[in-house]
Amino acid sequence: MITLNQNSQTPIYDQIKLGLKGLVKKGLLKPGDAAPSIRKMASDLKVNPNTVARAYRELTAEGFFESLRGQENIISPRAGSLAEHAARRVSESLETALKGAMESGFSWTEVEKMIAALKRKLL
Amino acid sequence: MKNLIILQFRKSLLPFLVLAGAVLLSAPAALLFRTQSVTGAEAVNIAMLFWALAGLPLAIMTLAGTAGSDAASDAARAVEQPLPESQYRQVLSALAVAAAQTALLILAVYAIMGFSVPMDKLTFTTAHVARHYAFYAAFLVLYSFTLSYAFRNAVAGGLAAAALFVVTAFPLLSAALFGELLLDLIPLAFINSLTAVLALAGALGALYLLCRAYARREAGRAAKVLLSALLLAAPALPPFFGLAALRAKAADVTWPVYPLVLSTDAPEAAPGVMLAQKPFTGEVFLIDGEGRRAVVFPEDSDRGVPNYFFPVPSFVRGQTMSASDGSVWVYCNRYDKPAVLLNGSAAGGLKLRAALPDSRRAYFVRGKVAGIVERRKDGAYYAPLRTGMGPLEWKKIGNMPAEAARRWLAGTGEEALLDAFLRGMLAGAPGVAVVSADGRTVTSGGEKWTVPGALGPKSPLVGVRLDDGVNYIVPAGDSKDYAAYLCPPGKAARKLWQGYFRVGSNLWQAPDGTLWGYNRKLRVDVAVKTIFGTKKNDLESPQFSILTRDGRSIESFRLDQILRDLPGAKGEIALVREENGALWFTLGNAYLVKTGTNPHGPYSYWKLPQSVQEKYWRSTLAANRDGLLIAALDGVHFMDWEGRARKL
Amino acid sequence: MNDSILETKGLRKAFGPKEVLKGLDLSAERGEVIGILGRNGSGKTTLFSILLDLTAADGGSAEILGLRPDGSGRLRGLIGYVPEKPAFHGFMTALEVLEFRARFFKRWDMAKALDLCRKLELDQASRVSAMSKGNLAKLAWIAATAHNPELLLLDEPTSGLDYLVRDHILNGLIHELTEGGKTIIVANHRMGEMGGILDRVCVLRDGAIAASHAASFLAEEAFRATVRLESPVSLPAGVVALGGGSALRDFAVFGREKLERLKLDPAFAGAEISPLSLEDSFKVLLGE
Repeated sequence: MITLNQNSQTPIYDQIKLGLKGLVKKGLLKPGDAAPSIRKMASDLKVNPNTVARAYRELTAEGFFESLRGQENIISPRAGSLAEHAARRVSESLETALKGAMESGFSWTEVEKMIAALKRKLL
Repeated sequence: MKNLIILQFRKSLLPFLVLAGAVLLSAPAALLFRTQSVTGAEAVNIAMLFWALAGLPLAIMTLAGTAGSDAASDAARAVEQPLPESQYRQVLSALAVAAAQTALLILAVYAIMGFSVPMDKLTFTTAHVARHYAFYAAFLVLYSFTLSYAFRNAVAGGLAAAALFVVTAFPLLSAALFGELLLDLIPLAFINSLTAVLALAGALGALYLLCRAYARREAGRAAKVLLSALLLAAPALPPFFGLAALRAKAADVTWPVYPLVLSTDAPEAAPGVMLAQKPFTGEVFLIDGEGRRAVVFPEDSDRGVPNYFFPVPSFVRGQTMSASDGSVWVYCNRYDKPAVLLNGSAAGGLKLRAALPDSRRAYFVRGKVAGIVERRKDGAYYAPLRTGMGPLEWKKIGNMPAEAARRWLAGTGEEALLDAFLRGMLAGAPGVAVVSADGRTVTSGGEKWTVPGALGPKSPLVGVRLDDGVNYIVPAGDSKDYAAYLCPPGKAARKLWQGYFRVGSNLWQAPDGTLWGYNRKLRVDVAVKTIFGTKKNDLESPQFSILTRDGRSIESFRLDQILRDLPGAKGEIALVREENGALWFTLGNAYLVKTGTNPHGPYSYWKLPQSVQEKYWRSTLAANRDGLLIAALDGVHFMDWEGRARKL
Repeated sequence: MNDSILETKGLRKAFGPKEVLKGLDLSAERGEVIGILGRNGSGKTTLFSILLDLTAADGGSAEILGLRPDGSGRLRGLIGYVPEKPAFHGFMTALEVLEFRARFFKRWDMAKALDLCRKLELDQASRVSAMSKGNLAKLAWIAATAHNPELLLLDEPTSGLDYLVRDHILNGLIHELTEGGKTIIVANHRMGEMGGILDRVCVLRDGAIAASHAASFLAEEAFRATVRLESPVSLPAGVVALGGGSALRDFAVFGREKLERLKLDPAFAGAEISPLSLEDSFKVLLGE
């Protein structure tokens, strides 16, 4: 379901959160679905269950998960909108950054090169 | 730990079952394959004895050896040590199983033998091993296991254990042999117990140290291994020291020298001195009451290595006789060396007069001139003993017919050959009387007595010197009984005692001249108190007849009460002195008793120092006028008539 | 509840002249997963041996689960140990091994043991002498975890095993962690697939713990800087040369702060920064 990049600078729990959010965005996980158990997630990803637990805690704090009928870690109805929110925020930031670049005189090709370098750096 | 024991049993099940099977099958096999001359029970016993002496030790070395080397193996380290049981207890559980298996095998053998060992059919060594089997088996189990653990190898461990076993057991066996044959010179029970405790503690302690060094890989490994080696070697020390102590004490053991032949006509031993020997060093000497001694044979310098472990005492035979000039003749005969004839005194030393080529039989004889008779292969020879130097003049006095020669070679003694000669010699000696053929008169020198029914016309009678001169005691028939007549010098013969008495046979003269003897012994019941209750013993109490130097006669004198009071005195009772109505007796080799003529009256007694009490009945005492010379465990002692003793 | 499960101070052990541990300090809290990274022969097994009270340390102290190693073997009843080469009695079957061990451990859970057998696909009736390496590893794992110990010591638990068995073992590890409260120490010469499970990595070098880093730190804050150097340059702390050609050099940088500071260094202006993989981080730590 989720792939992790062990070498990435992003902490693993963050990658798990982003991965789950991505699944919801793609519609593979719908509000009301239960997320995989901590143990199953940890086994599949071969990570410390505490890491998964932390990701789930933060997702619950952010409102991405909710507890329903005694079950924990159910995708909340707001998850979809949270994902959309996040996507919109990202889109807005990019737009601002790119506008700034063009106004500073960067050509599109240079911007693409920068993006490629950043991709290498961040991933 | 119980689980580990079960595991170890399971691991070693196969070799154990094979051994147990072999033991069990050997019983029917013995029955099947026995020879005709042996009964079924004997055959089975022989098979079981074979197991006990050869098969089981090897089985022990195998079981304990493999258990030990397995416990030290890498496999054990990987599989068993990670279990939550201390590593030492794991090793102990393996040891416990090996010990239990050994015990089962021994029990099986013992059961097949019918729970009894036929001790009387065993040699001394095997009987000793049988008596201490539990100890020896435990030793072998512990040591095979520990040494196999140390070397991580069953074969090396087993061989090392066997070597240590031999080193420890050998002196133990030696010391036991000593004690069995002779004397309890050292506290053998203590040494045995100490050895057992050291062996047990030593093996377990060594195992503990080796476990810490090898299994737990503790620092200071070399020191631990060295200490283990010392602990394992320690049990060999008490037996060795015990044996060394035994040898040292044995070297002091002193024994009188007894004559080869007990003959009623033999001359008395020289008074005042004792011919004594140290059987474990070979020294023979003449000693008097003051402690002056003259050497007959010096100590053997080298008796060989086997003698170190199994010291064999060698006894000499000999005789002393006093010469007319007051010196002492000494004849002494060793088994493997020529006999010697010496003359001299304890104070002045002895000089060799002759070496006698035939060292088997020679003895002193009385006569006008004292002489020595020697039996050689081709007959009997006589030489008179004269003082002064110069060789002896031997004269052949009798041939040895083939029959007698054969008997002589076989050592069965042939006195009859020389009886005539001896009697002839004796008859011519002073102080000897002869009974007439018709049994009516007794003649000596110029004197003559009438004794009705005198016995022994063929045997000369030796006289006894009392205050009034040489008297003769003549046995005579008296209706259905016997009587002893006294023939004093210058007076008529008179009947002295009832019963048969003959000087040299059952009548003796004490060093101070008192004549004493007995021809009856009566039984006395003695109740001996032991910690288990009272035990009834019966003792023999002789009925003494005594004639003092000044002519007083005491008949039917018994020491019943004294014998009851002084338990444990075994051996002969002898009168050694009379003075002013007090009588001194020696009881066996144990006591000197002084009593009045009333045997139920008060008496004093003194225990003789260091004497050999239990095992031997022959007297180790020599009385003289001043006291007793005592050949004892640690040398020669002298005790005076008031019981004051000192070591010479 | 005391949170310190294990603490060693200055552990020393020498075998004859060879010093294997020279003052090793290690501590573990409840619930931590610690990887001990060390080259072959660096003393990992010796360390475990001392912690398990199988070998006596020459010096230093150790306290595990409130007990000190004293030779009694008590500690071994409280620790789950998977040795590098699991060994059992050859004549026993898997079930017999488990039944045998059950008698030694007070908290043995036979139902759990049998369940694990089923899950790991280990035939209870198979004989130890005929077991493959993978099956032995499974049996060792079951034996170590069936008594629910608070501390697990695993010595090279996955080396030499095929993918499927390795997966089983790792899943088992994660399961034990999910149950909660277990502290796990893994000694490995290749941390590889364990990277995500570890909380901390300790590097065992020259007989002591040379470095101790949070796993997340190594994952997130290890960088590789590739730079063209005209002249030799002195390296600040946390920067390790990785090699490369004469002019083009690679450096490992541990820590975001150190990276920022390095970027300010004129020699490193224009360096190409990329993340350093976990494997490479481990290699660097080992080789340092």
